[in-house]
Amino acid sequence: MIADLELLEGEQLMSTAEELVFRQIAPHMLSDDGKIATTAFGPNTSDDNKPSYSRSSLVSAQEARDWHTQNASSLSLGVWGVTVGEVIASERHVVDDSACPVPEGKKRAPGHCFVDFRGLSRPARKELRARLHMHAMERGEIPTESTTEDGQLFA
Amino acid sequence: MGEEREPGVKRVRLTGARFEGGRLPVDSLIELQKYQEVVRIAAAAEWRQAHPDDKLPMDFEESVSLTIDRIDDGSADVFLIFEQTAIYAEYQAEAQDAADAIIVAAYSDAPIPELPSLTPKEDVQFRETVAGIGATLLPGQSIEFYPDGSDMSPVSITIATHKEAVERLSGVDDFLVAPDEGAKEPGLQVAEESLVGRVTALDADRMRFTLTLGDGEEVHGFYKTQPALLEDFRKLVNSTAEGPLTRITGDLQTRAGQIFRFRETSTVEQVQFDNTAWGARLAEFAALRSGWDGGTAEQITSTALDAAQKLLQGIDRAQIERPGVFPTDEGGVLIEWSKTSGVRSIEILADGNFEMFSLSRGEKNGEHSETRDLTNAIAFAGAGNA
Repeated sequence: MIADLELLEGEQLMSTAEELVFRQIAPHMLSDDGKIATTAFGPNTSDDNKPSYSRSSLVSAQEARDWHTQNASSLSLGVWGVTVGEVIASERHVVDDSACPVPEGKKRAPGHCFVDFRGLSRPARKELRARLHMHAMERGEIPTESTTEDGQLFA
Repeated sequence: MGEEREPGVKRVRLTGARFEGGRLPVDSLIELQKYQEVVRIAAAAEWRQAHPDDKLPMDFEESVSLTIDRIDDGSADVFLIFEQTAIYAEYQAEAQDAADAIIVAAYSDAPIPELPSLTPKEDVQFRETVAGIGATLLPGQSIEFYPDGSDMSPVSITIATHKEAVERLSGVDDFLVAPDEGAKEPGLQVAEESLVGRVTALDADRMRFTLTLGDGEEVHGFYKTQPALLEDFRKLVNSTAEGPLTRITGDLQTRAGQIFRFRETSTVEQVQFDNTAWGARLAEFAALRSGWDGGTAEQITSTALDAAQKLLQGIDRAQIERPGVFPTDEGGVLIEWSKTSGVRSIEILADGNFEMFSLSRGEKNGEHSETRDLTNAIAFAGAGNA
């Protein structure tokens, strides 16, 4: 069952349960001993409860990481992922918003999608991100390399 | 600091045959006028920044005026003082600092400092006027300018050093910016914010301090509306940059995201964390600026940091498994134990409350509760160890 489903124009539900969606882990979500915060899988202050993920059917984990490091406000230290089916099992959904207009001055990553946290209560947000965290940790880190800067041969 | 400095006196020494015997040719007065003009430009900018909706008072310019206090024997050794008009004194003092800083930079390898109070037009005028100081010098003559007091090392302006200074001041990049683009420059932003660093200098006369951040950047600030903070600053100042970690909160001015200075200071707190890995992590959180997540994340409050430290000490004493410790975008700290089998967390809110949550894999709903009681929070953490 999908609760509170209300899509905006241009948004499309993703339904292939096996499709993996990638999440980039920024420095403040990672502790020195390698622990990842559950908050890493939920929304932040600038995404309107639509935390960004990338579709594995359209981009590789490495491409997604490189794009993030080169365009987002913080670099990515690694890639983890959950499947669309795992999100649906958590009673939420993944939305492909590639057909939505990009707000002025913003960029959208190739293969962009989001896990829909819109309309959730504070306790429900905590529960959803905890569930996504458990699935992602069970799967383990998706292998990628550090993104090299322009003109840099090695990371 | 600056004990040798004669308060309010600016020393400018002119050397060369033309000035021998303490003579001061009339045509060299223009050098002193240029210095006065530099300070006036900066003082007017400071005033306009503090009064964005008002016109510059009619008497402002003549109130920021230099007078020759005395000329000592030897070469023309001129001691200047400013005519002090009490209501404008603070603008003149800040402007004099700005003028001195740019002169020192122009005659050294230091980068020319940006003066965010100036509009692009004023900035050009300011640099041009500074570049004009020394233009009347002839071979064998020099101007020794004493920025830090009459007994400190002077900046030496000669024909050769003046030429190099003019190049530095010309700011080639500035001239490549179209005038209309310059006009759109947003200028200074002011927001209540905290910075963490070490107080490495204190000027009680000017109610001014220097905070050195972890990356070595120096931020200046004032505490003019809170003179009682002087005692706090005195306990914390340490010029060797090995003093106590200090959190300063106040009206922080920035320009294009870059820190300029604290226009005013509201609180000064020593930040102390345990000498542990957790302590180091909490110290990192204390230094996060607002927007640290790339969005609008709030600074981590001192209340939350204190509560986090106490909770972590309790967790340590109770020999509870080591948690992950993370900042939250609401200004709190998240302490959590996460496994593939479940998640248990204590979120310390900005106000110091403990928000507790646990969810085991397969459970339909998690458990949520909140407390202000540290003992309850530690007990909740320990329950996950069972």
